[in-house]
Amino acid sequence: MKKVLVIEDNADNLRLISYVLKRAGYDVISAGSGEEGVVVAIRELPFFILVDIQLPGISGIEAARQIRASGANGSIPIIAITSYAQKGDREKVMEAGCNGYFEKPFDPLTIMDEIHKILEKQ
Amino acid sequence: MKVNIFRYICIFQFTWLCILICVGFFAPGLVFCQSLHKEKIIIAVRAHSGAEAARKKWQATADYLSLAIPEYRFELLPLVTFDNMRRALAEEQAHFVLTNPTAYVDLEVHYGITRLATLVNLVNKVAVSEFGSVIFTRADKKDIIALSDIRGKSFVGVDKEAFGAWLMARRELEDNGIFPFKHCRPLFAGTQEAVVFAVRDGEADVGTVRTGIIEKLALQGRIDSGDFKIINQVEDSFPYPHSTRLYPEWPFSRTSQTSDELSTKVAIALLSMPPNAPAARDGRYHGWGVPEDYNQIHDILRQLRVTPYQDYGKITILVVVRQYLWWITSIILLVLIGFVLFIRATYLNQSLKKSKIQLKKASQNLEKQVRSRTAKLAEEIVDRKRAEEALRDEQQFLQAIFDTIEEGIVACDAKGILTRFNKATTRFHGLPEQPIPAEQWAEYYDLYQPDGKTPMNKEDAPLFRALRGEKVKDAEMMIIPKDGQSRVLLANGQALKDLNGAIIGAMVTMHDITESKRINEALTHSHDLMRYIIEHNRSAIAVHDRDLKYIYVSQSYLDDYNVREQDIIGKHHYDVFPDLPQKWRDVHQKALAGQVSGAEADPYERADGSVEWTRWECRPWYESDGSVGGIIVYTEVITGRIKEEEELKQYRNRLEEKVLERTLDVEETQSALLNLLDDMNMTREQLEEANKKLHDLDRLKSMFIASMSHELRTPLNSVIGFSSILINEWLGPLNDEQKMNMESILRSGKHLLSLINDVIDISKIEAGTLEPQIENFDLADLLTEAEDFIRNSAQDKGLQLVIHKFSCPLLTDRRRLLQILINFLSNGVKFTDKGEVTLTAELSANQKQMEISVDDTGIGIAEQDQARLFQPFTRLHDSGSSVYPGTGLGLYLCRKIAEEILHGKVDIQSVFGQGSTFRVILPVKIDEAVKTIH
Repeated sequence: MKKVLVIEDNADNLRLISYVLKRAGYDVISAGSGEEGVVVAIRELPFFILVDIQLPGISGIEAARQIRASGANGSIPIIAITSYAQKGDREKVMEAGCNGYFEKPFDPLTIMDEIHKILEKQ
Repeated sequence: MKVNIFRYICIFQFTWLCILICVGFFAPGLVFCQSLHKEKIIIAVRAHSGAEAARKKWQATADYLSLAIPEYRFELLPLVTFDNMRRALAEEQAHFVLTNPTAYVDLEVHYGITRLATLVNLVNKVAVSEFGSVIFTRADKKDIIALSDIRGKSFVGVDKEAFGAWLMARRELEDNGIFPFKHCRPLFAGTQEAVVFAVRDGEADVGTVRTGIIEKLALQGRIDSGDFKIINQVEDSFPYPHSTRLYPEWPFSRTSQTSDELSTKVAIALLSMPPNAPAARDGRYHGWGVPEDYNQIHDILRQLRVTPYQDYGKITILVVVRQYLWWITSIILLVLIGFVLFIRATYLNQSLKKSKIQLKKASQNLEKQVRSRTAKLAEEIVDRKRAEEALRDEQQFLQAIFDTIEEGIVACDAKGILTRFNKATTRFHGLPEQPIPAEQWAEYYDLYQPDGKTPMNKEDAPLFRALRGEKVKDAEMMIIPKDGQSRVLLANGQALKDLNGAIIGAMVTMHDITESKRINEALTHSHDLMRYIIEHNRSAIAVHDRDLKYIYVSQSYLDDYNVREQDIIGKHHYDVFPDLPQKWRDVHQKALAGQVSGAEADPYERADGSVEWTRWECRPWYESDGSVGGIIVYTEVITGRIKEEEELKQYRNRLEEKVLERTLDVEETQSALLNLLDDMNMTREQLEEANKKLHDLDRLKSMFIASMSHELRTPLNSVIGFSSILINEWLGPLNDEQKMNMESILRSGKHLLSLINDVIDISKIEAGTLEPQIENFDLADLLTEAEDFIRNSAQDKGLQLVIHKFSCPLLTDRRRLLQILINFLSNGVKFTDKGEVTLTAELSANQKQMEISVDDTGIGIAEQDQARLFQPFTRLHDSGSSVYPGTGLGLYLCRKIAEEILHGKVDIQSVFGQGSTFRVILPVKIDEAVKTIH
C-alpha cells in the first residue's frame, strides 16, 4: 500500500482525513507538528504529503519548504490544507514548493477527486 | 752479454764436468742458479695500490715468463705514479710494460710501446677481456630513469681520472648532452666500494663503477643488489650489466728497445698460459688473449680531452712552426725583398725633393713680380670701383626715395608724353603692378574737379598746365580709378627747361589729401552738430571761453534771460549781466579752477518778490591739451515742477491716513476670523480622534472576523466531514432515524459554514481588503458551471431549469460573478415550488454592459419589501424560516460584490405571488469601467 503522510495537529481532522485516505486505499502515517513532519517525510519518503498550514511551531508552508530544501524528496507531491485562505496564501504555498492546496472544511465525498486532480497534474 | 757468459765459462773450466753432472741431476736448481746470472728483463708495472700489492699480483706472472723463456730473468719494476712510469720509459729502464688501458694509450703515443696481449680477467669467476661501466641509482629513486634525468643531480665516481668509474660514464653522458662538471654535482669517493655505498646511503643521487663491482659486493653479502637500478643498460652478450660501451682490459706491451724475437717469445708464452697457472691464480685472472683494439680508448680520451689528448684541438706555437715552416720562410723572404725596395725608393725620393726645391725658388721669384704688377692694377680698379659704387649708391638712394615716397611724381617730355613716374603715381591712378605704356593710362581713371563731379579737361590737368609754362601751386583735383578708391590730390608742378630756357618737359608732384580732407569735413560737421545740439537744448546753456566770453548759447538761454544772440556772443559774461551776485562769480572761478558746482533746486527771490526755483550746474570744459578752455553753465527754471511736487506730497499724506484707518478695520476682522479658526481646529482634532477610534474598531472587527473564521472552520470541518461519512455509511449502516438526525447535523454545519463565508466576504468588502481577481473568460463556460452547481437541487424540487447560454468574452472577477449567479439561482430554486427557473443573459446595445437575469415562478416579493431586500440580515419570510433557510446576508453580499467588485449593480422586479426577476448588470470589461469612473 502506498504511504501518505498527513501533517495535522488537530486530532479530529487527522482522523477524518485518515478515513478518506484509507478508504481510497492508502496507508496513512501522521505527524503532529511541522518539525516532526519534516523528519518523517525525509525518513519515510511517502507517496504524497498533506500538510495543514496552521500548525504549532513552524507553519505548514515552512515545513513544505524544508522538505523541498532537503533535496531527497523533490518529486513527492505536497498538498496544503488551509482553514482560511488569507490574501497571498496561495502564492506562498506554491512558492514553498507545494503542488496544490484545498480549503477546510472539505467534503469527504469529493476531496479524493480533488487530490487526484492535483496528483495528475504532476 | 754472451761475451760475459763465455768469460765466466773460461774462468771456471775445471768445473765443466761437475757442472754437466749438476745439470743432469739438479736441472731445476741449476736453472734457478743460472737465472741469477741471466740477462735481466724489466717489466714496468703500474701499481695503483702500492708496490707490495703489485708484486703480489704480478710476481708470479714474471716468474712464469722467466721459466718459459729461460734465457732471461724477468723482473718487476712497480711504479706507483704514472709520471714515474713515463720517466722509466724515457730513460729506457723497462722492456715491457704492464699497465691499465688509458696509461697504455698515453705511452703508446709518447713512447711507442706496442701491445702483445690483452688480459683475460676473471670477474667473479667469469673470464672477460673487456670491461665497461655501470651508471646506477637507488631503486626507489622514481625521478631518475634515463640518462637525461641525471641533469642537476649529484653524481659520484672514484676520481677524475678513474677510467671505469668516471671517464666511461662521462663519455656516455656527454654524448647525451650532459656535462657532469657543468650540469651535475660531481663527487669523488676514492674507491669503487665507497661509490656504491655513497649511492646506497643517499649521499649521492647517481654513481658509476666498473662492471662487476656491484655483483662482487652483492656476492660478498655487503649490499643487496635489489637496492639499485641501472640506468641506460646496454643489451648485449657481455655477462655483466653495463651502461656504457665496453673497452679492452690491461694490455701487456713491449717497449721500442725490446727485440722482436724476445717480444715474440713473451707473446707466445703469455698466450699459452694455462688457466690454472700460479701466475693466473696470483693475478686473479684467467689468462692472456690476442691484443684487442685500443682505438676505443683513444676515442674516449680524445673526446674527453684527457691525457694524452689533454691538448687535443688546441694549437701550440711549436705545432704551427713545424707545420707552416715553408710558409713562414717564404713570408720572411718577401718581407726582406720589400725592405730593400723601400730603401731604394727612399733614396730616389730624396733626389727628387732636391730638384723640387730649386724649381720652387724660381717660381717664387716669378710670382713676386706678377704680384707687384697685379697690386698696382688692383689699386686702379678699386678707385674706379669706389667711384662707381658711390654713384650707384646715390642712384639707388634717389630711386628708393622715388619709389617709396608717398608723393606721386610724374614727368613728361616736351610733347607731353610721360617719361617718368613713381609707384605712388601708379597707385593713385589705379594702375596695375606691371608697367603700362603711358599712352594707355587714361583707360584706367577719370580726372575730376575738386567737387568730384565736374570732369577735368585735359588742358586743365596740372601736368599740361605745367608744360604750358604755368607754375602749378596746390591745384586740387579728384582722381577716380575705374577699379578703385577715389582720391583727392593736391598737385604742384612746373615746366622743365634746358640751359637755353626752352621747355623740354614738365614735372608734377601729387599729394594725397583724401584722408585729411575727410577728417577736416568730419571735424567741421561735429562742430556744427555740437552747436546745433546746444542751440536746441531745452535747458538754458551758455558756453564761455577762459575769459568768460560767450561762445555758444542755447535758444532757451536767450529766451530765459531775455537777450539776443548777436548781442552777447564774444562779450564778457559780466558785461552782459553786470549785476550778477558774488555767489555766481565765485561759482565761475571754481569752474575755471576745474571744479563742478550745481544744485537740484535752488530758490531765489525775484525783484517782484516771487520765488523762482532753478536747477543748475557749472562745469569746466577742456582743451585737447587738458587745460581748462572755459566753462559751461546749465540752468533750468523748475518753479512749476516744485509746486506740483508739493501738491502731490499733500495728496499722498491724505491717502496714507485713509489707508491707516482701513487697515485697523481689517485687523479687527482678521482677529475675529482667527478666533473662529481656532475653534474649528479644535473640532477637527476631536473629529480625527473619533476617526482614529473608528479605524481601530474597524481593525479589531476585521481581526476578530479573521480569527473567528479560522477557529469556526476547524470544528466545522469535523462536523461536516464526520456527518458526511456517517450518512454515507462508510462506517456501517444507519437506521432511518439516525440518518435523518445526521442529515440535520450536516445541513446545520453547511448552513453555518455558508454564514461564516458570507460574513467574511462582507467584512472584507467593507474593509476594502477584498481584491478583485480579474481574468478573461467566456460567459457560456461560466453559465455552465453555475448550471452544474444548481442542477441537482432544482431536479430535487422538480423544477425546470432553463439557462440561455451564449458565448461572449468577459474580463472581470469570475469567481465573484459566479457567486452572484449561484446566489440568484439558489434563491430562485429555494423560493419556487413549481414551475421554472430561467437564466437569461443579454448584451447592451453599445456592447459594453452585460445584463444577466434570473426569473422564477416562485412566491414573489411585495413591493414595499423590495427596497430593503438588499440590506443585511433581511429575512422576509420570518414565519417560514424553517421552510426557507438562509443567512440573511446573501443578497446584501450580492449587492456589495456587484457594486464594489464588479463595478455594476443589482436590482429586482417582482410581483408578489407570481415570481421574481433578479438582475445583475456589469461591464463586459472591468478595465473600461474603471477608466470611465476615473
